[in-house]
Amino acid sequence: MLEDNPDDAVFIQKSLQRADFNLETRIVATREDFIRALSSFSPDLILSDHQLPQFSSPEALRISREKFPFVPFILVTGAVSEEFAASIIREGADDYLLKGNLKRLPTAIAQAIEKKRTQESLQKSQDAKRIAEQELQNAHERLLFHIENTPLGNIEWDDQFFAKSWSKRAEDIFGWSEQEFIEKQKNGFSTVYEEDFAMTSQVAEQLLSGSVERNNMQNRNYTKDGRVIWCEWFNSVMKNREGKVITIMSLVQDITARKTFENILKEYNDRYQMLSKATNDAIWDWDIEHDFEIWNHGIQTIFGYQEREINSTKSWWKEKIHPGDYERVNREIKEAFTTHATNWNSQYQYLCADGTYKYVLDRGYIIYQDDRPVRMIGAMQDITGQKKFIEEIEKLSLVASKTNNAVVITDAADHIEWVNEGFVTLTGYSLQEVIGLKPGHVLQGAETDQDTVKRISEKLKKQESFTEEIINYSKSARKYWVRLDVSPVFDDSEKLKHFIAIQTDISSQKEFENQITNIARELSSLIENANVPIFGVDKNGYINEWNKITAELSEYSKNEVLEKKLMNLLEPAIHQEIQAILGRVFTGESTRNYELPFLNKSGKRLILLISISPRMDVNKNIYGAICVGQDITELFRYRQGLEKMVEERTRDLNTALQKEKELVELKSKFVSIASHEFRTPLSTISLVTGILQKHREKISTHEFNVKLETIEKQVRHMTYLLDDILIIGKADAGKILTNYTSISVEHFFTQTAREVEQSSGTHKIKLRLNCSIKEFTSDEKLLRNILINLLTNAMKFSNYIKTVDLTVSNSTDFLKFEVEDKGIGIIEEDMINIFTPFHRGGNVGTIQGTGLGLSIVKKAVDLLKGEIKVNSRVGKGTIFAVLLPLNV
Amino acid sequence: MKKKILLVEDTVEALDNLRDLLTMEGFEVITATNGEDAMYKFYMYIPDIIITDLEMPKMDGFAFIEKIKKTDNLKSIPVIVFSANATAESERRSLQSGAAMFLKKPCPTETLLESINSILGNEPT
Repeated sequence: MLEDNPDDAVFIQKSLQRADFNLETRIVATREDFIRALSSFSPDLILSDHQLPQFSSPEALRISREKFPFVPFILVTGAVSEEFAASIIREGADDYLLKGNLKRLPTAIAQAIEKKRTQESLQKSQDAKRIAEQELQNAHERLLFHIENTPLGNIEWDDQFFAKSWSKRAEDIFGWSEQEFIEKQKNGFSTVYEEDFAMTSQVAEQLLSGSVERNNMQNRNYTKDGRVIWCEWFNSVMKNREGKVITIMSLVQDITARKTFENILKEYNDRYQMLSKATNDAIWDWDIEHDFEIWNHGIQTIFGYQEREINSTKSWWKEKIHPGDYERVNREIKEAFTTHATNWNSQYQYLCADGTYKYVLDRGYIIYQDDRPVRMIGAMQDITGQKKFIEEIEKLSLVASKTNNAVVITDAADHIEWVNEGFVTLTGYSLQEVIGLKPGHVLQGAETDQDTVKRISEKLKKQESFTEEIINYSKSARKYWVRLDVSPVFDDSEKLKHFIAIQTDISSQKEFENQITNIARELSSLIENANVPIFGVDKNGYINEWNKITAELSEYSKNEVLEKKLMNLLEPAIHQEIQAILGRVFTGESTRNYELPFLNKSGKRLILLISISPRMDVNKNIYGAICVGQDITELFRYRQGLEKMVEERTRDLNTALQKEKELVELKSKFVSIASHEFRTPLSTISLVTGILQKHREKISTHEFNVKLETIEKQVRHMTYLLDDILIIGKADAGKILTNYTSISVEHFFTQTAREVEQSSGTHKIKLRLNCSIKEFTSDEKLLRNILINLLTNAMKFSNYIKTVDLTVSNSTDFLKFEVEDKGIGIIEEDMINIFTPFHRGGNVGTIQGTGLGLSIVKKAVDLLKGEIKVNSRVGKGTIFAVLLPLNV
Repeated sequence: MKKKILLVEDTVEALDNLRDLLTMEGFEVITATNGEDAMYKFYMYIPDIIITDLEMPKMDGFAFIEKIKKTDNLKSIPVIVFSANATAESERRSLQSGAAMFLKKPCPTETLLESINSILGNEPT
């Protein structure tokens, strides 16, 4: 409590205690103490005076709001202008009260605390909205970042497989811009190569039917410049909440280079199978001394010579060696003889009858006699097949080295025989490190999917070609995704010889896919679980987003509104405005803080403060609008309430000020009339004393006594006046306290009537008691005052018929007494003023009076919560009836 | 020749005692108890000076003075307002209406008599 007047502080504290507020109060009077108390005391409520030494309520309000925006601040002040009161309420004070009227304090405190609670919860929901919007924005930016940085073309298709968007990379691959492609597609155009059309349609069908959510596919496509390229597609399906396919997102990669390599490989494989036909060895026996050589059938079957062609000299044999090998083979034989080697072997090409050469492995056994070679027996083995294979491999490696893909050749038992440069780059292993090992053992690791591994080994066993995606690890333990294309290689007898495996690093695709999926999931969960209402429409105004909070607030479930027009849920009066806003949003212009009135299912009118932004797909095409909102129904009501409150308070204040003004006017009028009423008798007294002083000798004793009597009379009149004024003053100040006691009806009325009768000495009072009760409860002093005044008036204004009737009766609820005279009556114009102080009737003539009697009577009746009625006719008389409640 | 005073006053005690005093002071006193009565007496007796109260039935003091001041021949007759309406406003209005002097009730007898004599140009008796 900020209050510099200790009396006021105690009084306010008492008021609070009386209202049963369990409050711990700290009272401060200066700026410094106030700031200190805020930090050490941390109040739940701040009551502030307006005028303080070197400090004022607006400044106190500012300081409070900085530290405790949600602690109620109530101004409790003596008097302020209405402009100031209205302005401090607008600046954020919660209420104000006049010290003279603290009755409203408990209600005001309760209202202010409740209001602050509402404000605080509104603030929190506003913060939540801002965070949700920020998160949405972040997620969207991350999504775009990934899309812009992928090496793959990105295409979005609608549920008819018409392109909705076509990224820059897609344009690079196919040559068509997005606009060109979408236009072409309208006329039934497709890039797909005719032979692959059926297969592609089948894959598309699977996706559209929703039976698969993701798949991979390879097909051939035409480019804009007429080339046919191989494409690899990674397709994933996006469904709405009902499971209906709405978008198919495709990532596409040009794999023409890889495909070409695969085809070459296949071709070589076929050729190898043909070449790998085995032949029987050609056995020879050479008599060196006599240069005579014997051949078995091999020379015929392998090389195709007819028996008659065969010359049994060595030179016949020798001359058929390939000229390129001739020198070497001769030299090798001579060396063997010189070194007395028993074994000789050599590989060379040997001329066939048809003029072609075959690769042969020639192995001989040398027999010596006296250190001289005399005989040599050997076998020529046709190794053309093997030789060719190695040549092919070497050629392959040339091709393989031109691809980035890793190529592994294993034997039939899956042991590595050869790897290309791409494999070394990808895995970090050299051929020497992995030769003879199983690729799986080298490359697989902890996160490798074991089901995939199982499938691979089954396929290997079945000797089938297959494609799988699998996690591998490099030598440096780097994890990466590869796509594995494995083909078995058979020899001519259908026997498995090798496996050729091509590994494609698809880590970036995989990662991209994961990120896209995660972000999409994150985004949708973000929307769904945001604790602010979020809803969206597509470009045709159909609702496509409706999160939990929206459903709660609107009481329409998501299923009820999805695929329905948002307009149908809105009041017709705002349709045009909303249409205009959506129109702008679809051109990319957001609308912030629109106050959307909304009638929920049960008819409650909500106000949502919404920001409407365009919703863009990955290629920044606007496909709808998303509204992020905040329920400000309470705030709205609160704002309206605030305006109303300011208005009410201003009116209250005006009324209070008006009343105060009237009171002041009344008082000053009272004082001026009172002073007039005193001045008149005083003036008379002054004149009489003047006469007596100046002209004592001129007046008789009788006249002298009359003059003295005049003085006494004036003094008496002033005394009455003074007594009456004091009573009125007390009544006006609220200082007359009622003191209820039990009063005997008979005794009270009889006694009082007799007293008045005696003091007048001129009139009779006729008392009639028609009461069923003997006693009643009232304030005797006030009641006497009423009765005496009425009886005295009745006598004073009835000079001819000197009887006054007093009748007392009762009902169950009231005691009633009537005073009736047959006097001069009250004229019509005076009726409205008969209870006004100092007002005297126009027909009173010279009848003395202060004009205060009836106003005192009225005040006393009011204090007793009774009623007074008057009925009068001029010249006939007057009846005053007083009704007093019996149940007090 | 006695000076004629028109005395206008609605309170009986005040009127009686004021009349007694002024008669004893040697004036011829004509009395009236309201403005209309006073107007009638004014034309009838053409007083040398008027002493009037303000609050009176029928025609109040202000209206009475204004009427006198609208006459052609008699507007120079001086008027003293003698009233219990002791406010600055009453004094201002009285002087504006044309009263020569405003005296508050009560006032010492000497002051009242001196005022009358000085306006009439007489030496106090």
